[in-house]
Amino acid sequence: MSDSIPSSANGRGAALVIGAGIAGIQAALDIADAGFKVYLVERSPSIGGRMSQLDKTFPTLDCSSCILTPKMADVPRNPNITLLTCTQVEAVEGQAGAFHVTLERQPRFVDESVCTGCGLCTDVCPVITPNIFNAALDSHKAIYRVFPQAVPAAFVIDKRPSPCKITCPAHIPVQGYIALIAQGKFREALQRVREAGVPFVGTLGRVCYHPCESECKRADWDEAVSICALKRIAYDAGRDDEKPQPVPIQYEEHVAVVGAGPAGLTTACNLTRRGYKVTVFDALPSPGGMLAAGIPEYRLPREVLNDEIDYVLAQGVELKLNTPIGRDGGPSLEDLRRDHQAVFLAIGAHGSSRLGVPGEDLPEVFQAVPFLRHMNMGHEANIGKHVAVIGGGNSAIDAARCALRLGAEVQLVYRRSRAEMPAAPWEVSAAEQEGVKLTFLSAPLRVIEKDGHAAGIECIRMKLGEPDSSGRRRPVPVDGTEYVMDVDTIIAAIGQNVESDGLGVETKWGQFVVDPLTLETSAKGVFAGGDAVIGPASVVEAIGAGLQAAESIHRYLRGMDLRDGRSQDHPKSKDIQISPAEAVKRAPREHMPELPVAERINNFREVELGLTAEQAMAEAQRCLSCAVCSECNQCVTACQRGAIVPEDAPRRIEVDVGAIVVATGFDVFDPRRKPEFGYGKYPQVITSLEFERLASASGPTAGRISLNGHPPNKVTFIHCVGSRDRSLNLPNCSRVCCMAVAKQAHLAHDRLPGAQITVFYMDVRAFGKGFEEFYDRVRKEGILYRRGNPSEIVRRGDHLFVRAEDTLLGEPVEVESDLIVLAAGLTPRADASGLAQILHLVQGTDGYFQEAHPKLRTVESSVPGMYLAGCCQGPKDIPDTVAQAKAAASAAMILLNGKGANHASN
Amino acid sequence: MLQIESRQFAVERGLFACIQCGKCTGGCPMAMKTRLNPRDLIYRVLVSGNGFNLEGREELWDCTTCLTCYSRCPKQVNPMEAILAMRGAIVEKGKIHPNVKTALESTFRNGNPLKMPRSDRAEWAKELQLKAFPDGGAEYLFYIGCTPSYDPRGQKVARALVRVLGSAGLDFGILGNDENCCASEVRRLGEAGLFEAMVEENTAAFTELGVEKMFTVSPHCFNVFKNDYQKLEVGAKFSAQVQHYTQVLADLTRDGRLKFNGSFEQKVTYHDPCYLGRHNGIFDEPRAILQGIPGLELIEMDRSREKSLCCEGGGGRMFLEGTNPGTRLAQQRVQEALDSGATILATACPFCLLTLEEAVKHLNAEEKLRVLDIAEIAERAL
Amino acid sequence: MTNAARVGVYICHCGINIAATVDVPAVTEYAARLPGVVVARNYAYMCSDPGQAMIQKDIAEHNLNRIVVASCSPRMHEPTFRAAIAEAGLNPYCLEMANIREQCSWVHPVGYPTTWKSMQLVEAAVAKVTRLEPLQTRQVSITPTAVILGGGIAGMQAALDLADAGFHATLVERESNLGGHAARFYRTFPTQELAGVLVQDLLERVNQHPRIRVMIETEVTDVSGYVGNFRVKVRRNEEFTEIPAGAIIVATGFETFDPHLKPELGYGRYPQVVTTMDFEHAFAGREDSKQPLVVHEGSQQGGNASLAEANDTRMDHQRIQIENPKSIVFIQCVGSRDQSVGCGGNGSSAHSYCSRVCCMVTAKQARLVRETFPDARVTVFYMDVRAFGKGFEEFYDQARQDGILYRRGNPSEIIKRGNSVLVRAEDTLLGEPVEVEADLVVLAVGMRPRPDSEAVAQLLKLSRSSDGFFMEAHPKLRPVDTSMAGVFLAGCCQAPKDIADSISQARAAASAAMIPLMRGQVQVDAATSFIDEELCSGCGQCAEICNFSALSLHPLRGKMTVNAVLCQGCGSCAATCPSKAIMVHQFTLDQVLAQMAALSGWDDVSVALEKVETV
Repeated sequence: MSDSIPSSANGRGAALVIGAGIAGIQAALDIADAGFKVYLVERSPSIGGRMSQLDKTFPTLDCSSCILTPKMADVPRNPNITLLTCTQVEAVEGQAGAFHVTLERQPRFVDESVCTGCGLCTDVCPVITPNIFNAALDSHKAIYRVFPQAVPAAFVIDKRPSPCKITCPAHIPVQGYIALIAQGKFREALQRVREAGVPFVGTLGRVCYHPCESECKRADWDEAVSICALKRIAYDAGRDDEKPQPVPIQYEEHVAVVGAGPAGLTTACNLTRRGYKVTVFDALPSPGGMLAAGIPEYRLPREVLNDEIDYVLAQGVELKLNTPIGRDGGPSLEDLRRDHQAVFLAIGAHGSSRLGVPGEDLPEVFQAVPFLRHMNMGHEANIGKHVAVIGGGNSAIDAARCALRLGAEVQLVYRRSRAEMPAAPWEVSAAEQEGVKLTFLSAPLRVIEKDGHAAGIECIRMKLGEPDSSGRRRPVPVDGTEYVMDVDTIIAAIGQNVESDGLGVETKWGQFVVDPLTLETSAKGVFAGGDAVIGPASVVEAIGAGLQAAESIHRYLRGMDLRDGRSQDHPKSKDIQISPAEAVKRAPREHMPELPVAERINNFREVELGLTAEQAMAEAQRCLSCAVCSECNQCVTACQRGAIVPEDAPRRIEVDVGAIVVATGFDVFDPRRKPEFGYGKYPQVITSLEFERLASASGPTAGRISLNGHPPNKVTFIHCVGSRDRSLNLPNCSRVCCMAVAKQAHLAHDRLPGAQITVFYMDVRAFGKGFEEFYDRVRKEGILYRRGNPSEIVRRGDHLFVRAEDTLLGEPVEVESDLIVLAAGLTPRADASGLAQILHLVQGTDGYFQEAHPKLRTVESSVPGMYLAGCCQGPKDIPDTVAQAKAAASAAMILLNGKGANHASN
Repeated sequence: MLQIESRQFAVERGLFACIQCGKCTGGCPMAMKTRLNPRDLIYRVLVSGNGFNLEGREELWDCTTCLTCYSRCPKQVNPMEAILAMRGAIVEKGKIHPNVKTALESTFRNGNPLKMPRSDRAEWAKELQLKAFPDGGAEYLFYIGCTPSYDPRGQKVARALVRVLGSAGLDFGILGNDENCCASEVRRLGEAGLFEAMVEENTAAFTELGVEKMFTVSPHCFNVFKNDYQKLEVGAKFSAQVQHYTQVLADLTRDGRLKFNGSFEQKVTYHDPCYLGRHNGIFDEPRAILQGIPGLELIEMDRSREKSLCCEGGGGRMFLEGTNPGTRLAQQRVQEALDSGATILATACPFCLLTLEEAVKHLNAEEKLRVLDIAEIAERAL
Repeated sequence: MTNAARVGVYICHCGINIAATVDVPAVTEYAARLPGVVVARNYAYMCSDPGQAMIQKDIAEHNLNRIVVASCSPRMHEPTFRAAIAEAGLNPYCLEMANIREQCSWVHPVGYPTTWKSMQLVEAAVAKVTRLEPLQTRQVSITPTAVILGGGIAGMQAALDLADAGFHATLVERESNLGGHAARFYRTFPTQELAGVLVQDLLERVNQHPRIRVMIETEVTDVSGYVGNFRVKVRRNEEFTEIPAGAIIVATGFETFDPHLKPELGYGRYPQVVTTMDFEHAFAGREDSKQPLVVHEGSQQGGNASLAEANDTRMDHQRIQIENPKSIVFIQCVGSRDQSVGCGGNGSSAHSYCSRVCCMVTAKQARLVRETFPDARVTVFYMDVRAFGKGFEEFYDQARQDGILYRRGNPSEIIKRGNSVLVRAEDTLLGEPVEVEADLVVLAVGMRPRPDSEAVAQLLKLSRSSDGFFMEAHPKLRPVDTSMAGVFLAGCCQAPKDIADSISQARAAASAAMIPLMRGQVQVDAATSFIDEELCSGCGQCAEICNFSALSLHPLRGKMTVNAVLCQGCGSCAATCPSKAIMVHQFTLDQVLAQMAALSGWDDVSVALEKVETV
């Protein structure tokens, strides 16, 4: 989506301010107060920047929030300021006086104009994630407000890509139903999957090949979460007998869906819900497609499948069975197109590949698909006692296990080795357990005929040669290894194909040719998906295609762009970094109880028994919430104002401005780069910013300085961590740390009565107004300043020691400490180079944005019309930042006002 | 163990205010030649955690209490007072140098540290027929002090001063043998208990006598009465207005009551006693007296006023050696006076007088330089 | 009005600032039962958007017409809540704040009944708020020009920004040249550019700017008026001029510390001892680098005459010619970070503060010396090297690499040794006293307020901080504003700073001044004093006491009148008036007595009045 915002106030020109820390806020307020339009762009969900994280400010010990909040509150109140949070600059064109700026606004998922900040949403949110604002010292929910005084006060959802959802062909919100199951909310979990447009929850929970589990991040710690089994219990434990009401029809258009398999029914279900009249045609006498015809009952009880099909139909889908299209006397595609405004072809891949060997047409030689269909439709299957199943796919396994259950002795013959078998490994091993014999590297040469009946099969041994086009090694017959298997029944399961003839739609190798994003075929208004497009695949892929088709058809019928905002590019799961809220405790996954093998033979009872509710909750709690937001939509239900916008998407915003103020701030040095201090290793070693949060009344400890509930008694501060350090290529002084330490030492003295407080320094740079006086005051409180830059922190037993030379004694010393605060310096923002490229700014050798002249043109950047404010130009404290921000505002206003303007009167 | 509770010690005395700039040690006249390093001493107290060991810290006795350290300190830390407190801790444990012990015992017993009998205190004045205070109804109490009372060289100063004051018609009386030691050196030597007892005794006596205005010969007596008595609870009632005699003479000169009819045709350089100058900011009055004397040419040494070099007579240094067996600062000072071209080295303190005169002898410079007290010069110009 | 009062009371937790010691729910319950109170609520942060929204919602739903917020000082958040209730349609003056943080939760020892006290404060606020009257603020049009006091770099830069933005600016300088101290610098740190070039750049732009009027050798004699409409009276020789101005920027600069105040360093006594300013001028004044360097002592300023006289030993305007020096010593922190010297002349406290620039000035000069006299030993005595700014540490690194010896220790004294001097110090890293012989000693003298800053403060009604510099409105967030609306600070008159920071601050002051000039009008607070003409005798005592010339006698009616634009609502007049004819809106007798009655438990206002009368 793209928005345009009116670009000036009173026709007096506009400015863009990038970054809404104290510098950006001040610059924006000055420019807006003078009557110019200001776009204040902030990439995080709240303005306030670093200052909002501080407890007190030096040297006056003002409460940082208390002095900042009024300024923050002035921003939304100012009619000249348009505040754009969660927004970043994408591109800038033009020159001073006429910049055209493209902004990208990331979704907040909460409508700022509607949210009252009441917090009901956060109460129901099941997801806990580290609170970055509090330096990860505590946690908050996935829907949260950055801090209590945040501006805008609206909540925001932390929604990130999760490997499971990305990997799922149907993009089912896995983390959502898992989070709900973790809380025992099975019904809500089922609802959540169904809301996502997936009607076959119990079905998928049983038969899905769950590629999601292969990508699950939990496997980095122990084992993947048992996602499929959890989906099953969402259905098993969450279902009730209530059927949905038919959805009222909103639109005139009538949609035909050919094929009542998972793809077709999913499309029908979703279009019906959107208000379309949908008719589903199927050649078979009962619906379900391959679900019904292909999957044996011991894997998918018919009762489950029928219940889910009923769920679809109950919403108002019309079903016409025994109606093949384009063949066998059924209506043609043209007929359908005449009566319907859109058609979805989801006819599956019900044709079978032939073995291509002599004797194939004997009556005891079956094709797997018809064999399974025959059995699954409730007919008796007439097979012998010794069955050979040819093939290595899922159909082969299904056929083998069915034959076994009919009392036969079953051998499975596959021409490659086990590793190449396309069937799911767990299916193969289940078959093996049940007694199916597997013969690898063997291929049939002919069916031996006796009296018009099959009496055996002659096979030949194979070996693996060069890889073929599929990447698998091609099997090559080994001469002279022919042998005969004594079987009376042969089931061929070597491939399925699409029966696509006669429809007049472009095909390739029998499969419909479609646009992979929109599923449009060569015929206008005709879409196709599922096995009919990609060949025999999985249920979940079919459902994914169904969802895709429903979206396309809706857009098509509504005259909307079929492609806008849709993409098949998703982040790669390996690129997703996650940070669990707390240390992950090793817990292996719950195992699916199964029917004992002895009880499986000779019947079609379901083999997998399902997790118990307790097991399921425990299993669900293993989820690491990679996505943070689980998309469980509990907040949507809880919000009384309808402020939650789950489908919120990135937006592009274009603005025209005359001047740009860059106030993007700084990053805090990561002390892990100085491993000798053990930051990240010793929990007692923290940064000064973490100390601020510990000391803050609104912080995680409500202002009590404590570690694991214990107030420290020996606190040591270390100056210049990541500053004045050429070994890190950070030669510059960070300017604020000396005073920050003095202030924090004072706070420690104040809050930890009797504690021994030591500060290690090289030079104490108390240069600003009132700073030296504050430093004097702090020392007099009894805080020991020792000159020397500590070399390392070591642990002996449970105790940490700061090792340094006290250069005034000229002696090495060790100071035992139970809290060590590293005055981590300021560094340029990690994304400074990126922004520099977008804005064409020059960076100095220190990485900060370079001013035009270090003395006289302190706020002009290297680009005319762009001005610098605050720490993006170099470290500075709050008053210097505010002064520079106002200076940048002055420069911007001069430009906006036009140099020739003359306001003088009389 | 001879330990002080260093944290409490440091917090109470504001030692944490120290920024380790080293101004104290840089200016300390003893730091160059002894182990004394006030900056280092303070720092070691600060970093010593809970206990600071005084054992073997002989350099504490090197301090002359000249106060250069405090007067230079940018953060108003007073190393001298910290040193005195440490001396106090040592004395409290009874670890006292025999010489010091003798002086203290004598002060307790005889009212002077010089082991002289009380009954001889007024001997110096027996020819002078001075008024007894208060019975004679005098306006001022003239407090003589121990050295001018007993030391023959000091007695000369006292007598000269009496004559100068007499010529100006100042109405004063003395306490005679009832005069007790001011206890200044007791305090410098760290004997806090005895000091307190004597302050109590003297305060009671002065209160009873109704002393309202008094002056002293020695800047040390002047200082302790003026600055230290009232800081103690037992001395809170001490209410007399205390002056050094140079202030009195300067006032008399300015008012025209003291007239110099004679002359003193000499090149005079003036040595600022620590307890007059740095301790009490009295730099101008002694110079005003000297400049009022006809014929006298006042020459300034490089180190004058705030920079005056201590003679090493203060802080109990009259009684002990510390870690400094070498030459005294007074010799350096005399050399500076010689370099200035002066023929007379003037001062206004009995300790300075004695140490400087001894140094002149040591340098065999009696021919070139004489040491005189301002009172003596004034007397000669009457 | 009183009868119809519908009060909403909102009690803030302020995180734990209040809630840790005050039982906020109990105070809320108490408030809910007070007469006139319709709703009472509490919230974690009333000042946050949700907090304000809560009030606004209640105003609409409960038809409230008076609001009490019990939280922090009104100085901080009164504007916040006034704006919030105004947005909800209430008159912004129908608000009263009970300060239960600064006046209660923060200040009492453990065990004090802070909850009880908060209840009392809330009750008093409720009593007062029911008697508050809606008031109207006024818009006043302004004079779109500015006056800048001081023609140093800060003043010039501020004038340029204002003029570039289209406003006429008058630059008033008491000396005969613009440029201030910077004009006489040699090079700047850390880029070693010639300062003259930088100043010249500004100077030319100022002189050529059609909207800048420069008045040299001119002093301000009187300032009257108010934000938007000041009248600045100036004098050049005997000629007086009155300049109208919408805003005033004060950029009067600093003077350097007079090292005579530290006699142990021998400035004025030994020609070898000079200041960084003397040294800077020596370099700046030298026409070619082949010439010997001649340093004039005491060339930096005309002031301090009284100090010079006080010290007889001073020898004025000594000069020393430096050729082939063997040893040059720099001493930092002369007159900075030093509680032992006071700021002579203006009665303020010691030079406790850091002068911010001397460390880098020293490093710059030391490197200059290294370049000029490659054979000389260069020693810098320091306490802490404060190389804090952009590129500073790198510059200091280079200075050491150039071979300049930094020794940690603050020299105690300088004494004479033959034809040179001896710097006596402790090298605190050696732990030993040292004596360094020097042919030249450069004292890094600090900055201090100008001697006339007291007078300027009085003219403009500015406050000064304890260091004697002009005080900004808030040390963190309002660094260029003053307590006087429309008067702004730039450069070193506010505190020591280097050229870059002075320039930034000057432009910040320009920005602040531009806002009202661009808007064309200012809003005037309605909480002013007013006259009860029946009681006024026209005696004029109020006019005498008024700091803002807001009161005058009406020539016809014989009664006093208030100029509401000038009045700052300070209340001095009300306190002075013998006949109680003057009151201040928001603090009328009725309102204040109601508050007192509530606090003291008196039954009603009439009793309170009686009590007050009898006191």
